[in-house]
Amino acid sequence: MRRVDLTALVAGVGLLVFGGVLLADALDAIHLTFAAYAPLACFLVGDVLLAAGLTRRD
Amino acid sequence: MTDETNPPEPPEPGPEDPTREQPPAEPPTTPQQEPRRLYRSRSDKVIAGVCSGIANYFRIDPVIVRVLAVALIFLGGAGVFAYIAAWLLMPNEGEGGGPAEGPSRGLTVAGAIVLIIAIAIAFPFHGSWWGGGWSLLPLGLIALAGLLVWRLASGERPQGDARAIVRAIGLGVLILAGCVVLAFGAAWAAAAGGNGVVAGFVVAAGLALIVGAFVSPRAARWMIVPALAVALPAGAVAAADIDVKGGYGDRTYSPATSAAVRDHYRVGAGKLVVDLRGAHLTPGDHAIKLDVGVGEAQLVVPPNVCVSSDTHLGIGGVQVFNRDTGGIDVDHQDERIAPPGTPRVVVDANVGIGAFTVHHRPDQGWRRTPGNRACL
Repeated sequence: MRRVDLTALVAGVGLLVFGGVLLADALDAIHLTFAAYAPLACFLVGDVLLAAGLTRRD
Repeated sequence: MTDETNPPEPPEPGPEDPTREQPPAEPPTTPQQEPRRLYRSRSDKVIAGVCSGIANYFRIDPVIVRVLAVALIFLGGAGVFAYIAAWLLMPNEGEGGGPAEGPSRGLTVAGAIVLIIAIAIAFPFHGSWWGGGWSLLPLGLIALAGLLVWRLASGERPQGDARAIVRAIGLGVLILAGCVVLAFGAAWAAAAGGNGVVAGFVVAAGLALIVGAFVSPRAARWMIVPALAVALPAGAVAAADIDVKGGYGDRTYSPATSAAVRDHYRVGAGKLVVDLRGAHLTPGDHAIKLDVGVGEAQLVVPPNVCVSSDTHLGIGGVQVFNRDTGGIDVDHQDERIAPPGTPRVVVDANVGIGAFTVHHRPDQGWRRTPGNRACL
Protein backbone atom coordinates (compact mmCIF):
# COMPACT_ATOMS: atom_id res chain seq x y z
CA MET A 1 0.00 0.00 0.00
CA ARG A 2 1.33 3.41 -0.99
CA ARG A 3 2.20 5.77 1.89
CA VAL A 4 0.55 9.17 2.09
CA ASP A 5 3.00 12.06 2.14
CA LEU A 6 2.06 14.09 5.23
CA THR A 7 4.00 17.18 4.15
CA ALA A 8 2.31 17.37 0.76
CA LEU A 9 -1.08 16.76 2.37
CA VAL A 10 -0.61 19.50 4.97
CA ALA A 11 0.75 21.91 2.35
CA GLY A 12 -2.21 21.14 0.10
CA VAL A 13 -4.78 21.82 2.81
CA GLY A 14 -2.94 25.02 3.81
CA LEU A 15 -2.79 26.25 0.23
CA LEU A 16 -6.45 25.41 -0.28
CA VAL A 17 -7.40 27.58 2.70
CA PHE A 18 -4.96 30.33 1.69
CA GLY A 19 -6.18 30.31 -1.90
CA GLY A 20 -9.77 30.47 -0.66
CA VAL A 21 -8.95 33.60 1.33
CA LEU A 22 -7.26 35.16 -1.71
CA LEU A 23 -10.25 34.27 -3.85
CA ALA A 24 -12.64 35.81 -1.32
CA ASP A 25 -10.56 38.99 -1.33
CA ALA A 26 -10.49 39.07 -5.14
CA LEU A 27 -14.28 38.77 -5.17
CA ASP A 28 -14.56 41.55 -2.57
CA ALA A 29 -16.23 39.19 -0.12
CA ILE A 30 -13.58 40.09 2.46
CA HIS A 31 -10.88 42.74 2.72
CA LEU A 32 -7.52 41.10 3.36
CA THR A 33 -5.16 43.21 5.48
CA PHE A 34 -1.60 42.59 6.64
CA ALA A 35 -2.92 42.01 10.14
CA ALA A 36 -4.68 38.93 8.78
CA TYR A 37 -2.17 38.04 6.07
CA ALA A 38 0.92 37.88 8.30
CA PRO A 39 -0.33 35.16 10.69
CA LEU A 40 -1.95 33.30 7.80
CA ALA A 41 1.34 33.23 5.86
CA CYS A 42 3.26 32.16 8.97
CA PHE A 43 0.70 29.43 9.59
CA LEU A 44 1.04 28.20 6.00
CA VAL A 45 4.84 28.07 6.03
CA GLY A 46 5.02 26.88 9.63
CA ASP A 47 2.73 23.90 9.22
CA VAL A 48 4.59 22.78 6.09
CA LEU A 49 7.95 22.93 7.88
CA LEU A 50 6.51 21.23 10.94
CA ALA A 51 5.01 18.45 8.84
CA ALA A 52 8.31 18.03 6.97
CA GLY A 53 10.19 17.78 10.26
CA LEU A 54 7.78 15.27 11.74
CA THR A 55 7.76 13.18 8.57
CA ARG A 56 11.55 13.00 8.53
CA ARG A 57 11.58 11.54 12.01
CA ASP A 58 9.45 8.57 11.00
CA MET B 1 78.23 -11.82 -1.79
CA THR B 2 76.46 -8.64 -0.89
CA ASP B 3 75.63 -5.81 -3.29
CA GLU B 4 76.72 -2.56 -1.67
CA THR B 5 74.06 -0.52 -3.48
CA ASN B 6 71.22 -2.45 -1.85
CA PRO B 7 70.22 -1.71 1.70
CA PRO B 8 70.97 -4.50 4.10
CA GLU B 9 68.08 -6.82 4.64
CA PRO B 10 66.87 -7.45 8.12
CA PRO B 11 67.97 -10.77 9.52
CA GLU B 12 65.36 -13.49 9.34
CA PRO B 13 65.38 -16.00 12.14
CA GLY B 14 64.66 -19.59 11.20
CA PRO B 15 66.08 -23.05 10.87
CA GLU B 16 66.73 -22.68 7.09
CA ASP B 17 69.70 -21.08 5.39
CA PRO B 18 70.07 -17.61 6.93
CA THR B 19 71.53 -16.19 3.69
CA ARG B 20 68.38 -17.08 1.66
CA GLU B 21 66.49 -14.01 0.37
CA GLN B 22 63.23 -13.34 2.12
CA PRO B 23 60.55 -10.73 1.28
CA PRO B 24 60.96 -7.60 3.38
CA ALA B 25 58.96 -7.81 6.54
CA GLU B 26 56.07 -5.35 7.08
CA PRO B 27 57.02 -2.69 9.60
CA PRO B 28 55.22 -3.30 12.84
CA THR B 29 52.12 -1.18 13.32
CA THR B 30 51.87 0.65 16.60
CA PRO B 31 49.20 3.02 17.84
CA GLN B 32 51.76 5.84 17.78
CA GLN B 33 52.20 5.54 13.98
CA GLU B 34 48.48 5.91 13.14
CA PRO B 35 47.55 9.40 11.88
CA ARG B 36 46.41 11.65 14.64
CA ARG B 37 42.77 12.65 14.42
CA LEU B 38 41.20 15.99 15.23
CA TYR B 39 38.27 15.73 17.62
CA ARG B 40 36.26 18.13 19.69
CA SER B 41 37.10 17.59 23.31
CA ARG B 42 34.32 16.47 25.60
CA SER B 43 36.22 16.67 28.86
CA ASP B 44 37.71 20.16 28.56
CA LYS B 45 35.42 22.57 26.78
CA VAL B 46 34.15 26.12 27.13
CA ILE B 47 31.67 26.14 24.26
CA ALA B 48 31.98 23.09 22.03
CA GLY B 49 35.46 21.79 22.79
CA VAL B 50 36.94 23.02 19.49
CA CYS B 51 39.92 24.89 20.98
CA SER B 52 40.70 22.08 23.39
CA GLY B 53 40.49 19.55 20.56
CA ILE B 54 42.94 21.57 18.45
CA ALA B 55 45.24 21.93 21.46
CA ASN B 56 45.14 18.17 22.05
CA TYR B 57 46.02 17.61 18.40
CA PHE B 58 49.09 19.85 18.58
CA ARG B 59 49.83 18.84 22.18
CA ILE B 60 49.85 22.40 23.44
CA ASP B 61 48.05 24.25 26.20
CA PRO B 62 44.37 24.87 25.22
CA VAL B 63 44.61 28.38 26.67
CA ILE B 64 46.94 29.38 23.81
CA VAL B 65 44.39 28.22 21.22
CA ARG B 66 41.58 30.00 23.06
CA VAL B 67 43.53 33.27 23.12
CA LEU B 68 44.19 32.95 19.37
CA ALA B 69 40.51 32.18 18.75
CA VAL B 70 39.40 35.30 20.62
CA ALA B 71 41.97 37.36 18.70
CA LEU B 72 40.57 35.99 15.41
CA ILE B 73 37.13 37.32 16.30
CA PHE B 74 38.50 40.83 15.80
CA LEU B 75 39.78 39.89 12.34
CA GLY B 76 36.59 40.97 10.61
CA GLY B 77 34.58 38.33 12.46
CA ALA B 78 36.42 35.52 10.70
CA GLY B 79 37.06 33.79 14.02
CA VAL B 80 33.36 33.35 14.62
CA PHE B 81 32.81 31.71 11.24
CA ALA B 82 35.95 29.60 11.63
CA TYR B 83 34.75 28.37 15.02
CA ILE B 84 31.30 27.52 13.65
CA ALA B 85 32.89 25.70 10.72
CA ALA B 86 35.16 23.73 13.05
CA TRP B 87 32.18 22.93 15.25
CA LEU B 88 30.29 21.54 12.25
CA LEU B 89 33.25 19.73 10.71
CA MET B 90 35.08 18.24 13.69
CA PRO B 91 33.61 15.02 15.08
CA ASN B 92 33.01 14.74 18.78
CA GLU B 93 35.48 12.86 20.91
CA GLY B 94 34.15 9.46 21.96
CA GLU B 95 33.88 8.27 25.47
CA GLY B 96 36.97 6.12 25.03
CA GLY B 97 39.04 8.80 23.38
CA GLY B 98 38.07 7.85 19.84
CA PRO B 99 35.37 9.26 17.63
CA ALA B 100 31.86 8.78 18.96
CA GLU B 101 30.18 9.86 15.78
CA GLY B 102 31.26 11.64 12.65
CA PRO B 103 29.51 14.70 11.28
CA SER B 104 26.77 14.02 8.76
CA ARG B 105 27.23 14.89 5.09
CA GLY B 106 24.89 17.82 5.40
CA LEU B 107 26.85 19.19 8.35
CA THR B 108 30.11 18.68 6.46
CA VAL B 109 28.84 20.72 3.51
CA ALA B 110 27.43 23.40 5.81
CA GLY B 111 30.74 23.52 7.65
CA ALA B 112 32.69 23.82 4.40
CA ILE B 113 30.50 26.72 3.25
CA VAL B 114 30.94 28.53 6.56
CA LEU B 115 34.69 27.88 6.42
CA ILE B 116 34.94 29.39 2.91
CA ILE B 117 33.13 32.48 4.16
CA ALA B 118 35.51 32.71 7.12
CA ILE B 119 38.55 32.50 4.83
CA ALA B 120 37.07 35.09 2.50
CA ILE B 121 36.49 37.45 5.41
CA ALA B 122 39.97 36.91 6.85
CA PHE B 123 41.59 37.41 3.42
CA PRO B 124 39.21 39.81 1.70
CA PHE B 125 41.35 40.35 -1.44
CA HIS B 126 40.37 44.01 -1.62
CA GLY B 127 39.95 45.29 -5.13
CA SER B 128 38.96 41.93 -6.51
CA TRP B 129 35.62 41.31 -8.15
CA TRP B 130 33.86 40.19 -4.97
CA GLY B 131 34.86 43.37 -3.09
CA GLY B 132 35.61 41.72 0.22
CA GLY B 133 34.70 38.47 1.86
CA TRP B 134 31.42 39.66 3.32
CA SER B 135 29.90 39.63 -0.16
CA LEU B 136 30.33 35.84 -0.06
CA LEU B 137 27.95 35.66 2.87
CA PRO B 138 24.82 35.96 0.70
CA LEU B 139 26.22 33.31 -1.64
CA GLY B 140 26.75 31.00 1.31
CA LEU B 141 23.25 31.66 2.55
CA ILE B 142 21.84 30.98 -0.91
CA ALA B 143 23.71 27.66 -1.01
CA LEU B 144 22.35 26.72 2.41
CA ALA B 145 18.85 27.77 1.33
CA GLY B 146 19.28 25.63 -1.78
CA LEU B 147 20.21 22.65 0.37
CA LEU B 148 17.16 23.28 2.58
CA VAL B 149 14.85 23.55 -0.42
CA TRP B 150 16.24 20.35 -1.89
CA ARG B 151 15.77 18.58 1.44
CA LEU B 152 12.19 19.84 1.75
CA ALA B 153 11.37 18.92 -1.84
CA SER B 154 13.00 15.51 -1.90
CA GLY B 155 12.18 14.56 1.66
CA GLU B 156 15.60 12.97 1.98
CA ARG B 157 18.71 13.77 3.91
CA PRO B 158 21.67 14.88 1.78
CA GLN B 159 23.84 11.81 1.40
CA GLY B 160 26.43 10.31 -0.91
CA ASP B 161 29.75 11.78 -1.92
CA ALA B 162 30.61 15.47 -2.16
CA ARG B 163 29.53 15.57 -5.80
CA ALA B 164 26.05 14.35 -4.87
CA ILE B 165 25.79 17.03 -2.17
CA VAL B 166 26.91 19.76 -4.56
CA ARG B 167 24.40 18.47 -7.11
CA ALA B 168 21.66 18.66 -4.48
CA ILE B 169 22.66 22.24 -3.64
CA GLY B 170 22.70 23.14 -7.33
CA LEU B 171 19.26 21.66 -7.86
CA GLY B 172 17.94 23.44 -4.77
CA VAL B 173 19.36 26.78 -5.92
CA LEU B 174 17.83 26.22 -9.38
CA ILE B 175 14.44 25.59 -7.75
CA LEU B 176 14.95 28.72 -5.65
CA ALA B 177 15.76 30.78 -8.75
CA GLY B 178 12.68 29.44 -10.50
CA CYS B 179 10.60 30.25 -7.44
CA VAL B 180 11.89 33.84 -7.41
CA VAL B 181 10.73 34.21 -11.02
CA LEU B 182 7.40 32.61 -10.10
CA ALA B 183 7.03 34.89 -7.09
CA PHE B 184 7.63 38.06 -9.11
CA GLY B 185 5.32 36.80 -11.84
CA ALA B 186 2.54 35.99 -9.39
CA ALA B 187 2.94 39.32 -7.59
CA TRP B 188 2.88 41.23 -10.86
CA ALA B 189 -0.13 39.29 -12.16
CA ALA B 190 -2.04 39.89 -8.92
CA ALA B 191 -1.13 43.59 -8.89
CA ALA B 192 -2.12 43.98 -12.54
CA GLY B 193 -5.66 42.88 -11.84
CA GLY B 194 -5.27 39.13 -12.19
CA ASN B 195 -5.62 38.46 -8.46
CA GLY B 196 -8.66 36.26 -9.05
CA VAL B 197 -6.75 34.12 -11.52
CA VAL B 198 -3.77 33.79 -9.17
CA ALA B 199 -6.09 32.89 -6.29
CA GLY B 200 -7.68 30.22 -8.47
CA PHE B 201 -4.23 28.89 -9.30
CA VAL B 202 -3.37 28.65 -5.59
CA VAL B 203 -6.60 26.76 -4.89
CA ALA B 204 -5.85 24.40 -7.80
CA ALA B 205 -2.30 23.87 -6.53
CA GLY B 206 -3.68 23.04 -3.08
CA LEU B 207 -6.08 20.48 -4.56
CA ALA B 208 -3.31 19.00 -6.72
CA LEU B 209 -1.09 18.63 -3.66
CA ILE B 210 -3.81 16.88 -1.68
CA VAL B 211 -4.44 14.43 -4.53
CA GLY B 212 -0.70 14.08 -5.17
CA ALA B 213 -0.05 13.25 -1.52
CA PHE B 214 -2.04 10.04 -2.05
CA VAL B 215 -1.31 9.27 -5.70
CA SER B 216 2.27 10.38 -6.25
CA PRO B 217 3.88 11.55 -3.00
CA ARG B 218 7.37 12.12 -4.43
CA ALA B 219 6.12 14.30 -7.29
CA ALA B 220 3.78 16.18 -4.94
CA ARG B 221 6.61 17.23 -2.64
CA TRP B 222 8.44 18.94 -5.51
CA MET B 223 5.34 21.13 -6.05
CA ILE B 224 5.24 22.50 -2.51
CA VAL B 225 7.91 25.20 -2.75
CA PRO B 226 6.79 26.57 -6.17
CA ALA B 227 3.18 26.68 -4.96
CA LEU B 228 4.24 28.63 -1.87
CA ALA B 229 6.27 30.94 -4.11
CA VAL B 230 3.08 31.82 -5.97
CA ALA B 231 0.74 32.03 -2.98
CA LEU B 232 2.73 34.15 -0.52
CA PRO B 233 3.60 37.13 -2.78
CA ALA B 234 0.06 37.15 -4.19
CA GLY B 235 -1.24 37.37 -0.63
CA ALA B 236 1.11 40.25 0.17
CA VAL B 237 -0.10 42.11 -2.92
CA ALA B 238 -3.71 41.54 -1.91
CA ALA B 239 -3.05 42.68 1.67
CA ALA B 240 -1.29 45.83 0.49
CA ASP B 241 -3.97 46.56 -2.14
CA ILE B 242 -1.24 47.06 -4.71
CA ASP B 243 -2.47 48.00 -8.15
CA VAL B 244 0.07 48.55 -10.91
CA LYS B 245 -2.40 49.37 -13.65
CA GLY B 246 -1.14 52.95 -13.56
CA GLY B 247 2.20 51.89 -15.05
CA TYR B 248 5.58 52.41 -13.46
CA GLY B 249 8.20 55.13 -13.27
CA ASP B 250 8.47 58.60 -11.72
CA ARG B 251 5.76 61.04 -12.71
CA THR B 252 5.34 64.70 -11.84
CA TYR B 253 2.16 66.64 -12.52
CA SER B 254 2.19 70.44 -12.23
CA PRO B 255 -1.17 71.79 -13.46
CA ALA B 256 -1.05 75.46 -14.43
CA THR B 257 -4.68 76.26 -13.70
CA SER B 258 -7.31 75.22 -11.22
CA ALA B 259 -9.35 73.67 -14.03
CA ALA B 260 -6.38 71.55 -15.11
CA VAL B 261 -6.23 69.74 -11.78
CA ARG B 262 -7.42 66.19 -12.31
CA ASP B 263 -9.48 64.29 -9.78
CA HIS B 264 -7.39 61.12 -10.02
CA TYR B 265 -3.64 60.49 -10.36
CA ARG B 266 -2.08 57.05 -10.27
CA VAL B 267 1.22 55.22 -10.64
CA GLY B 268 1.64 51.47 -10.33
CA ALA B 269 5.22 51.46 -9.13
CA GLY B 270 7.38 54.56 -8.73
CA LYS B 271 7.11 58.11 -7.45
CA LEU B 272 4.08 60.27 -8.04
CA VAL B 273 4.39 64.03 -7.45
CA VAL B 274 1.38 66.33 -7.77
CA ASP B 275 2.59 69.92 -7.46
CA LEU B 276 -0.29 72.38 -7.08
CA ARG B 277 1.79 75.49 -6.37
CA GLY B 278 1.21 76.89 -9.84
CA ALA B 279 -2.44 75.84 -10.14
CA HIS B 280 -3.90 78.97 -8.46
CA LEU B 281 -6.68 76.95 -6.89
CA THR B 282 -10.03 78.66 -6.64
CA PRO B 283 -11.77 78.90 -3.24
CA GLY B 284 -13.74 75.81 -2.29
CA ASP B 285 -13.07 72.08 -2.23
CA HIS B 286 -10.91 70.21 -4.74
CA ALA B 287 -11.12 66.44 -4.36
CA ILE B 288 -8.08 64.52 -5.51
CA LYS B 289 -7.47 60.79 -5.41
CA LEU B 290 -3.88 59.49 -5.43
CA ASP B 291 -3.09 55.80 -6.05
CA VAL B 292 0.40 54.34 -5.86
CA GLY B 293 0.99 50.58 -5.81
CA VAL B 294 4.60 50.53 -4.66
CA GLY B 295 6.53 53.78 -4.14
CA GLU B 296 5.81 57.27 -2.97
CA ALA B 297 2.97 59.73 -3.45
CA GLN B 298 3.82 63.35 -2.81
CA LEU B 299 1.42 66.30 -2.76
CA VAL B 300 2.88 69.81 -2.87
CA VAL B 301 0.58 72.74 -2.11
CA PRO B 302 1.11 76.49 -1.65
CA PRO B 303 0.82 77.93 1.89
CA ASN B 304 -2.59 79.48 1.17
CA VAL B 305 -4.20 76.07 0.58
CA CYS B 306 -5.74 73.90 3.32
CA VAL B 307 -5.25 70.13 3.01
CA SER B 308 -7.65 67.56 4.44
CA SER B 309 -6.41 64.00 3.95
CA ASP B 310 -7.57 60.43 4.25
CA THR B 311 -4.73 57.96 3.73
CA HIS B 312 -4.63 54.17 3.46
CA LEU B 313 -1.32 52.31 3.37
CA GLY B 314 -0.58 48.59 3.30
CA ILE B 315 2.96 49.04 4.61
CA GLY B 316 4.71 52.37 4.98
CA GLY B 317 4.43 55.85 6.39
CA VAL B 318 2.37 59.00 5.96
CA GLN B 319 3.48 62.53 6.71
CA VAL B 320 1.18 65.51 6.37
CA PHE B 321 3.39 68.51 7.16
CA ASN B 322 4.40 67.99 10.79
CA ARG B 323 2.16 65.01 11.50
CA ASP B 324 3.29 61.54 10.63
CA THR B 325 2.62 57.90 11.34
CA GLY B 326 3.48 54.54 9.82
CA GLY B 327 3.39 50.77 10.09
CA ILE B 328 1.20 48.14 8.48
CA ASP B 329 -2.47 48.58 7.56
CA VAL B 330 -2.27 52.32 8.20
CA ASP B 331 -5.48 54.35 8.05
CA HIS B 332 -4.71 57.99 8.72
CA GLN B 333 -7.36 60.71 8.71
CA ASP B 334 -6.42 64.35 9.04
CA GLU B 335 -9.69 66.14 8.45
CA ARG B 336 -9.39 69.91 8.27
CA ILE B 337 -11.84 72.73 7.66
CA ALA B 338 -10.96 75.76 5.58
CA PRO B 339 -12.24 79.24 6.35
CA PRO B 340 -14.55 80.80 3.75
CA GLY B 341 -12.74 81.99 0.64
CA THR B 342 -9.85 79.56 1.14
CA PRO B 343 -9.17 76.69 -1.27
CA ARG B 344 -9.18 73.24 0.33
CA VAL B 345 -7.69 70.08 -1.19
CA VAL B 346 -9.49 66.95 -0.02
CA VAL B 347 -7.06 64.17 -0.82
CA ASP B 348 -7.76 60.45 -0.72
CA ALA B 349 -4.40 58.68 -0.90
CA ASN B 350 -3.93 54.92 -1.33
CA VAL B 351 -0.42 53.50 -1.24
CA GLY B 352 0.22 49.75 -1.22
CA ILE B 353 3.82 49.77 -0.01
CA GLY B 354 5.60 53.10 0.40
CA ALA B 355 4.87 56.58 1.65
CA PHE B 356 2.54 59.53 1.26
CA THR B 357 3.76 63.02 2.07
CA VAL B 358 2.28 66.51 1.92
CA HIS B 359 4.55 69.57 2.00
CA HIS B 360 4.81 73.12 0.74
CA ARG B 361 8.02 72.30 -1.13
CA PRO B 362 8.91 69.15 -3.08
CA ASP B 363 12.38 68.81 -1.56
CA GLN B 364 11.25 68.39 2.03
CA GLY B 365 11.58 64.61 1.96
CA TRP B 366 10.69 62.95 5.27
CA ARG B 367 11.02 66.07 7.41
CA ARG B 368 8.38 67.49 9.68
CA THR B 369 7.65 70.95 8.38
CA PRO B 370 5.03 73.45 9.53
CA GLY B 371 2.00 73.72 7.31
CA ASN B 372 -1.76 73.66 6.96
CA ARG B 373 -1.93 77.12 8.49
CA ALA B 374 -4.60 78.01 5.96
CA CYS B 375 -6.99 75.65 7.78
CA LEU B 376 -9.04 76.62 10.77
